[in-house]
Amino acid sequence: MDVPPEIGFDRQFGTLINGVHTEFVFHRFAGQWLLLVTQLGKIGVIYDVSFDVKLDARKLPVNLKEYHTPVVLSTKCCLGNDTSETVSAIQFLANNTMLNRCPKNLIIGLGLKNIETKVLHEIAEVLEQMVFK
Amino acid sequence: MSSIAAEQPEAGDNKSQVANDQTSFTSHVAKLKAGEDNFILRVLKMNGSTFLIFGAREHEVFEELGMALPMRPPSNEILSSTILGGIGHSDSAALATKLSKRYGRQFFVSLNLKLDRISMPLFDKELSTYMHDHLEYFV
Repeated sequence: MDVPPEIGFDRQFGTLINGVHTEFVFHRFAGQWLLLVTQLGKIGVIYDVSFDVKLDARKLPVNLKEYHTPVVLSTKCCLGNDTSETVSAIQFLANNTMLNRCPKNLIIGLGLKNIETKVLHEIAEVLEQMVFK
Repeated sequence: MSSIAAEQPEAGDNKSQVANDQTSFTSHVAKLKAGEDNFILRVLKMNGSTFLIFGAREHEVFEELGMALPMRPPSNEILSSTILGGIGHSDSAALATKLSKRYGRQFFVSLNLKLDRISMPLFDKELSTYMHDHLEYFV
């Protein structure tokens, strides 16, 4: 992992995801969280993610095959192509990381070369270990 | 986590950083003052574009986002849009347009300050001076 000497956000680093250099930026604002994950050197798409249930009443997702329950969220594409793959990726990251603890809105910028299961699992692991731990 | 460990550079090992940092970003934070107003500026410099976030020092929010980028030559026009929050051509988009025109680069701006006709010129001057003096953080 490469962390620059000075950072202007809660977290900012680069690491390899599925062999591709990937930049992570995360910051908690009052109410909103900002997350950028990109392999393109720029912001690809920007989504405004809102959670349908307030934080204190929000149920944690259940990641069991038989009783799978996702965290309920709404996505609004603000920049770039709105695709079902990207929305699914956001839902996956919200289900599998502490992103589902965001108090209000999550502004998420994604720029992934390929959206596939292995990539998403690695991103979720990096978020849990490097951002939320 | 093998992928993280694999890229961990040794102290002073600039070669491994260069090899893996093809899209490396830099970021910066500054506390600025425009008249009586104190604000925080967060900067993320990416490849070919810059992200600026302005918030009040006591209550940093992210409620508005504007973007502007120069069109390809021979046109010298700037395209801009309000991406998040704001109505019509937001203050964020207006500032992004101004910076994009000045530096010939794409700018994302999140301006979350309540500025009026008195404080706006002070803010403009403070930002211009700071960017001029610390250009390496921005472009």
